[in-house]
Amino acid sequence: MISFRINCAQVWVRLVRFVCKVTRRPQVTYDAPPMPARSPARSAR
Amino acid sequence: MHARLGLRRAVAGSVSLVISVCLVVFGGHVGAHVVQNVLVPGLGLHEQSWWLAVAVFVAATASIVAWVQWGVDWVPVAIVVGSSVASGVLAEAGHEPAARWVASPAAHEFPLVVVVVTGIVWLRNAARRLPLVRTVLERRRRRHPEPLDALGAVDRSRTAAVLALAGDVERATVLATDPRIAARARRVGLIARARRGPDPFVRDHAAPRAALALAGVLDGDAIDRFREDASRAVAGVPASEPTWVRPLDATLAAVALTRIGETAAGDRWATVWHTNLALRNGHRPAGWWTPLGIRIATAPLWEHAAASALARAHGWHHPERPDADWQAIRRRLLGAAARGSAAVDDERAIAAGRLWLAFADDEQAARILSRPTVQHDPLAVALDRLAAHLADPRDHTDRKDLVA
Amino acid sequence: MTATIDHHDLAATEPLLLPERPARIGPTSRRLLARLVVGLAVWFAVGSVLIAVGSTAWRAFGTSMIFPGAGFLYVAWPVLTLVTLVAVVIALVLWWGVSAHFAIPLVWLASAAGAALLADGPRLVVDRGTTWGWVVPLAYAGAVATLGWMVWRIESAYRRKAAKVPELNEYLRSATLPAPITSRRAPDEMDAELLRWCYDFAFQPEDGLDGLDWGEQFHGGTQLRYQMNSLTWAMSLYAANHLPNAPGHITRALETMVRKHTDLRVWKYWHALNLIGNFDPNPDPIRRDNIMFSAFLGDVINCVEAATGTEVFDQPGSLEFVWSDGRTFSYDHHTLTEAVRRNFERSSLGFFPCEPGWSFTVCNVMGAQALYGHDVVHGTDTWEQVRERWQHTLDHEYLTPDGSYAHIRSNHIGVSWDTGEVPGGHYFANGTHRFADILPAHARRAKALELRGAAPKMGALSSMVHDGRLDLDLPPELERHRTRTSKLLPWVKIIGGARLVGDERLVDAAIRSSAEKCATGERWPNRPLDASASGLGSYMIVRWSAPLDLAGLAMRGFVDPVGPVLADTAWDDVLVTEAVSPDGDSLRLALQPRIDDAAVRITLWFGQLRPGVAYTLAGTGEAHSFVAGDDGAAAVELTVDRTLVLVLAEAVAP
Repeated sequence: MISFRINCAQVWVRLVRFVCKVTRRPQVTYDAPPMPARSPARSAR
Repeated sequence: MHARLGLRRAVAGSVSLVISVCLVVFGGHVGAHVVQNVLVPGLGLHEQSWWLAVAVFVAATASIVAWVQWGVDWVPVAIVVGSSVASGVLAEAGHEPAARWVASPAAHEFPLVVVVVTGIVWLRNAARRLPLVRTVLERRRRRHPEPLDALGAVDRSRTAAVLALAGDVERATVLATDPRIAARARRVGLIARARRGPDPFVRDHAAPRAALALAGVLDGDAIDRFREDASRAVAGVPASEPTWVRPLDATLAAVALTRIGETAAGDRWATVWHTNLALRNGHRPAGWWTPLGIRIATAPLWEHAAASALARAHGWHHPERPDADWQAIRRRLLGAAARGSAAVDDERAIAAGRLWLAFADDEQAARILSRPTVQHDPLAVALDRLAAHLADPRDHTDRKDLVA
Repeated sequence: MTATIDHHDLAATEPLLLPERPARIGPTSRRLLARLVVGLAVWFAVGSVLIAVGSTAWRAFGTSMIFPGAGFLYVAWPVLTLVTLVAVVIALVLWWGVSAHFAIPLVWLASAAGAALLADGPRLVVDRGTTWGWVVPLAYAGAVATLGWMVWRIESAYRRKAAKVPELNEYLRSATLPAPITSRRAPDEMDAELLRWCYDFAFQPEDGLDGLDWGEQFHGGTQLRYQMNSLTWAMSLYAANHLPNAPGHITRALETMVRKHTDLRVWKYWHALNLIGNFDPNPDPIRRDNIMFSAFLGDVINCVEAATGTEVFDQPGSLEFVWSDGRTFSYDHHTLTEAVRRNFERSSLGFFPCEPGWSFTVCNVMGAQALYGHDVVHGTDTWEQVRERWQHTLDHEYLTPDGSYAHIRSNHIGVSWDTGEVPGGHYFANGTHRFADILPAHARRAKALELRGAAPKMGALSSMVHDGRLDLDLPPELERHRTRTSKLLPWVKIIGGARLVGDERLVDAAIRSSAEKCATGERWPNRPLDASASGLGSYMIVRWSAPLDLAGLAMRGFVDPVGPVLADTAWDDVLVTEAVSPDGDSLRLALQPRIDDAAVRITLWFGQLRPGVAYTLAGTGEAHSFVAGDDGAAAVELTVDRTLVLVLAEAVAP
């Protein structure tokens, strides 16, 4: 009962991209804001 | 002291009420303008010039901020008095003031001042959290990439004092003797009180003096002056800025004085701590204006947590409700832990919360507060180190006893 | 044996055929749709009355009620009609995206009100007060055409699929399924790099989530929860398949991974969704709906417990979700599972929502998995309590005639559509186990149907394998967040497809070649392969899915390791990549320095040895002998300066 097709997933990403452009924030970052990367801690023993 | 402050408030209130009533009843139109202007600086001038009225209002607001921040009390007084006199002089004879309601007695002035000042302080803190303002502050912080560089003089002193308590006297000494701290104290002393002597710490400046005392840097004369200042002070400890007592600075000063043998200072501070600065609706004040003993705004969570934990460590808590502060701030501390240590205030709150874990047998809070990493803000790191110091059973026979 | 496969034997399962005369729509969905139809009928009736008897303004209002934006056209503002249509599309996306159920009605009403307000107002190019009466019949035509088109799409899809049923059933009756790949591939250098990355991620400071892709948390492919899920599943597979006899370190890593799911940044999106979609300000991420978090986490914990036997998350309060105001929502594995079960029970549709008002098949399959896996590990019967109704919902509400399931259904109005998230808006199976654990017959049918499409493609690829490699330069694919491409994603599909068809040679070749072609040489927090974090997680899952895949792991539950065990060592100095007992008596061990080119002197503490028996530990230039203590333990010191592959076995008598 698939009634119609609207690629919500694509429109969503485009909306997010637009909002990020307006607010001047990156859409995706490939590390972890807000903390800088830290060296891995010693494992808990 | 309580009675003395109460009397002062009563006298001040009565005098201002009498003056206001006289101005309104007998001063006529001119008197009404003056009272208008006293209540809302600039309002008395709005009929002459809106720009002048707005400028006076902005100047008064800025001066109140300076008063709360640095104890520069004569500036807002000068602006209010000057603009009120001007409004009276410039008021047109026979012209009815626009706002009749202003003729009501100014007996509400002092609470209104309290409300206004509290509102300004709250607005200032809230504004710092607004996205645009936060970006500006972040940019400013990025210009000083080292967290220590971004630390203000007062926070620098607090950090030094806490580090000294945590046992890192060497680093505490370096921080406490930073020339920027003395330079600031000199500036504040000059502007607020026209002090020009060689010692910038002759009066007030609780945090720097506590840091220097705890680091063992104060000489004999300085220690004597510290003791004397404390014995004369309304709160039992020197103020942070002229007429302003702040919870953490005062507690650190009390700790320092206790360590140099002035245990009475600690007792006097304890009395103030659970009377004048007592918990109200789960909060303690951000500042206490000593001339009339008026509480202003609410202390930031981290400062409340740190000051109350230190007080608890020295037995300065309320005898019947030793953990009342913990109960009051616990949930907010867990919220800070959940938010993580990205924001300075949260990072400090997390570290200050860990101080309390030495006294509060609270496994859930211990778990939650231990999750975030405290590593950015120097004061937060110092508080965290003190918390570890308190928690380490090897350091003290009684791990909760911070008194040397 | 260190890992037993306990698949429901899909090949032996009786084939589940497709209904010969499938219903167009399930009973609950029919009821919901009927409610929608009645509502729309009333709406159109009111609009028609306004058109018939109202003033110009009311006619404009009514015309917009018939078709959104038509009122603006009636009052000669065509630009605003276009604006309305764009707004409707955006409202629809927001309805899907953040459960803004009020969005379309709001736009519709706003267009009606706006048209009414402009009725006597100025116009852009024509005279003030101009109305175009011809728009009214056009609006009716538009409404009829839109509804008709939707009905036609549903009907034509239904007929197209129903026509295939006899042929498909014929195929299903005789389809033979390939045997799953159960042989274990020894970990290689890339497996070591991936394991190292996982440990680096897990053991960063407790509040650290460095290494993941960051962006919005609703739909954009950057959701932290799914990245965490896939990494934890992958690590569970590695633990079960390659480290069953060295559980210490990987268990702690997995426990940390589960705890990281409780980080506020992972689940705080729910507060906004709950507020917008349910008008409920409660931020508790488990209590209500949000199956995309609760069920997935439940399944993750099932896998972790099945792989390691840890009981940490069975303790009350072991899963603490602390909101930004300090409110704490405490759960454990049991109460989490109970919450999922309770939500199934409460739902009138039988499936319960991710985003409020939207129930997805994949997520409800995960919900079923969460219950099933909990039952396996803890001996409960939560899945049995809901299975019948759940299956009824699957078969009567979501099943389409050709055996595929609609991806999404509205809990409010019973509508599905192709949202672009999955091709065609339907699939034969989904979830990480593809029904294998919860409904074996459905799994068999789904697998058989998938093979129809997959087998020829995989066959073609298999013919390209030479010398154990698949030398293809596959075009990079767009990541889900669409901000960059990944060379690894097409390889994930190939490896997954090769596993589906049981082509071990193709699996091995694709694993080898993908590592060679997609390696970046980077380490955490960057990624060792050219992919996003979720792509990396998916890759690790398909790479490590033998002998046990996730379904097999869930069905097996936890099994104590048999044979010698590496109980402890300097885990921070040495990376143990393999610890398996192929025969229950010996132990195969692979280890390398944790830090490159750093030789370390370490001690290996063994347990579960036969007391008093002499053992040898030999391989890669090492030879050690010792006698196990009375407690079945022993320790061996050695220097690790390169990859060592060692075998611990009972000494052979001279």
